[in-house]
Amino acid sequence: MPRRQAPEVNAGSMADIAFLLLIFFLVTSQMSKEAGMFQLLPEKTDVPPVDINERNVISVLARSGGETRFGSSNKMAEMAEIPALLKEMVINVNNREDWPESRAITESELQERVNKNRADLEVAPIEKQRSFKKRLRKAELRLKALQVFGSDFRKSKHVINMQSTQEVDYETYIELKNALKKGYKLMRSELAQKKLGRGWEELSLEEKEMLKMVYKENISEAPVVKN
Amino acid sequence: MSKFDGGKKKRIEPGISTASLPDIVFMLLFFFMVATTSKENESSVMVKLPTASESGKLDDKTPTAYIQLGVPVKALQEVYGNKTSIQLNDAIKTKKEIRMFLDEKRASIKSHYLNIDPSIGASKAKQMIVCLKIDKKTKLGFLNEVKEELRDASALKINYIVNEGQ
Repeated sequence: MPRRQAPEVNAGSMADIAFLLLIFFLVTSQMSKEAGMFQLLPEKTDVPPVDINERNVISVLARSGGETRFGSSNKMAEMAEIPALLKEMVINVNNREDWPESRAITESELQERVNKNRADLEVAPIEKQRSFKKRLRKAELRLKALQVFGSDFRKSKHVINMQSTQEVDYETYIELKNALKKGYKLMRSELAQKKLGRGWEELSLEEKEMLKMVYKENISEAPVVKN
Repeated sequence: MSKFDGGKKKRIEPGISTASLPDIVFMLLFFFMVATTSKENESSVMVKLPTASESGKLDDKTPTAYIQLGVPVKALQEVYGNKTSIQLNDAIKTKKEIRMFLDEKRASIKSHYLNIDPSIGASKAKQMIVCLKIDKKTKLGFLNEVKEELRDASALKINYIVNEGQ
């Protein structure tokens, strides 16, 4: 029997196969970009902490065993309840005496701020221009936020005082931090729904930034002095 | 056609064309370059990150320094014990060395911009974010000590790295 010759493998389609593989991997794999929670630590100073009116302090305490306490009366709270509780206390619709106070913001005071920043920018040295520009942009955005959100934009004096005992797991700590952030997100997305008719995910970056100004995060981990 | 294929001679078995091999390899290379993020350093401590939903992505422009807290990996436990330790760069260090580590980081950021614009380097060094990769089971007391150390080193911008999810 004559030996049959092996046919040549067609390598032309190799590129296609490789392409398919490439696309498969691109679709199925996740880009692992790191996500994180930002925190700004307080500076080390000798200046004693400012006294804060007790009604403005929202204390949150994490204890070992996943037990959390919330609010001035230190009552127990489930992690899942915290966002709603926080929202209620920060917004304080009925202006309860024992919950954080807030005051209305007027357009003229924000306009004044913008004007001042604009004047500052003109005389700023070149190397500082960028940070001054940033400041001006923020002031302008705040003014715009007032026009968009109106009387919902109030200056809240609340401070969240986040404390935890030494034995608490880092996991619980992050969970609590996450719950607080969820609370802020809840307030912001509800306001977005009310004023803009859209959910958080559908907002533009600028709108998100404005909402962050309306409900500004104020979480402190330093022991707060109450008077 | 027998004139061309020399009918009687036994033909040599044709090899697989390797002409496209470089393309394939290149493509794989590109794939890995795009899809994976480079690992900063070897892990000397075991870190299982906690999960959080309200987290933000880090942007690439800001310089970062990584600090990991966790129990040393099995191979290193004989040397370092099994208590929560601090990893800086790729070695286990003590709390007191954090400050030096951060100063070195800042200096290297500055030197990176030395030929372009020293003022940018200085501001970039100021912007540096300390990324903390901390094991779930780490006790807060230990973390607070590390945070104190960071405050001493005036590295105030920190970022807790978490897994995204519910």
